[in-house]
Amino acid sequence: MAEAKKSKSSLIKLVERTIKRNINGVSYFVSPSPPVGQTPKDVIHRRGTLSLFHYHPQTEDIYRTPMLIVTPTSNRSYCLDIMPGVSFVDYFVKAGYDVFLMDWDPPRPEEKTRTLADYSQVFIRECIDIVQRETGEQDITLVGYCMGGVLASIYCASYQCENVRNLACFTTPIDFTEMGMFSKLSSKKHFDVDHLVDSVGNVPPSFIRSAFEANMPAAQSMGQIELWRNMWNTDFVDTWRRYNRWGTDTLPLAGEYFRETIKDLLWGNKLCKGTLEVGGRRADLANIDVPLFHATALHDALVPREASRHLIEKASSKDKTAMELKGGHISLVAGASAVGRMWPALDEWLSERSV
Amino acid sequence: MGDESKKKTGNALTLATLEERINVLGQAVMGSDNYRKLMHGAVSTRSSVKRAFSDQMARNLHFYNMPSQDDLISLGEQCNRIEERLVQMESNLNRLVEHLSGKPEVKMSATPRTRKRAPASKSRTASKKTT
Repeated sequence: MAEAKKSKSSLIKLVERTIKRNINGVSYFVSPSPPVGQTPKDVIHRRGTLSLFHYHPQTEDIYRTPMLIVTPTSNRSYCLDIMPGVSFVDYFVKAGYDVFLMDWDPPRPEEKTRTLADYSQVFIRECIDIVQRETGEQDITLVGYCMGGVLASIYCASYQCENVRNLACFTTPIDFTEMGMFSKLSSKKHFDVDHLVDSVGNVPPSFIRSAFEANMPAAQSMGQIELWRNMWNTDFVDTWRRYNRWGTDTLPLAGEYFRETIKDLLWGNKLCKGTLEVGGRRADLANIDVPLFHATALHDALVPREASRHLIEKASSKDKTAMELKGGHISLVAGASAVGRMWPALDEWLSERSV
Repeated sequence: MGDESKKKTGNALTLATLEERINVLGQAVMGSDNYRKLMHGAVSTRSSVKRAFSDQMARNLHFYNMPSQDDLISLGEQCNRIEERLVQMESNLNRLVEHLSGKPEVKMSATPRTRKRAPASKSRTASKKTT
């Protein structure tokens, strides 16, 4: 009797899941991908590849020091605002911070001459000026994720942290010799970066994506298998589509910026050695003397811990916090690890230093 | 029910192991000297072909007295330079206004900046080092 009841319920479950699987399967192919970047904001500045967002404050009062986020140049910024409940910016806006974010559009062909100095100094300086005008505050908290962290660190290192009160970085590579497949694929022996940039101008996203995929060759296929196994689960499909959209929405990189990144950072490892010169200024990480927070992920396949740990070691700040969390490169800022651990920890750290 | 969950865990474990093995194998192949040589050779050839095609197209367009992509790009670059100078002028003007009025020009937001630190909460941080 119990056996029959059990097989009946399994059969009902199977039928239900098959129906849901078909509905979600059809919807996957015919419906547009779910919306991302939904936290209310204004675009307060736009110049070529750069847009500066200002998120609407949602609390009665806000912390004195505004937050300026620098996102990686190879990806869209909506990773930090991927969906309600899993949104870095939404979390911090609701926690009472005045949040500004530097977003990147694909560089236009005429922007192929944009350099590392443009991204790490000119654009950041320009945005700081605008944030100062918008808020009336002289100092800001600079937040950088991945390559955005590198740009923020270079700014602080070359401008002696001018107008920066706090620096918070997540998975920021400093020692580029430890960058695994990125170092191997961009090896000087076979890679003629000059020929590539001189021929194509801006480096196409397919090239950037193939370097990301080389780090985890099976990830894309396994993702598809996981999607197929969970096709009956509407929430899973919805979330998967958002993350997949972000993962495949890679941006082209400005030619000169790419050339300098390869030559100075990957080949010369100058940021780690302290010999990097950007825009005529020395970018020595020892110049970073403001309170520093750096979060890294234990299972980060893109930026291994060996590559990122140097930020804390090399900065001369007296107030330094290093955090190592379970999870990968993306889950650190937009996943379970982020929601439950990293965001509350950063909020606690920043709240003391933003009044 | 127990059997089903065991089966699910087993499947997930098998997939995870498979993924790990493919990743290791893929990285070994893609990290090899021969693969890199081949890949960069292909990229280089592709970009050379693209450049050659673009040059030929530019010659054809010039023959018909029309601007090529490179001409448009240089025009765009010129616009960028003008924009950059305008941004610089704007920033200088703002500084001048600040200097003349004696206080910075601020777009006052309606929200007061008086928020104080929230009471300390017990966060579930993993390994956290503070110096």
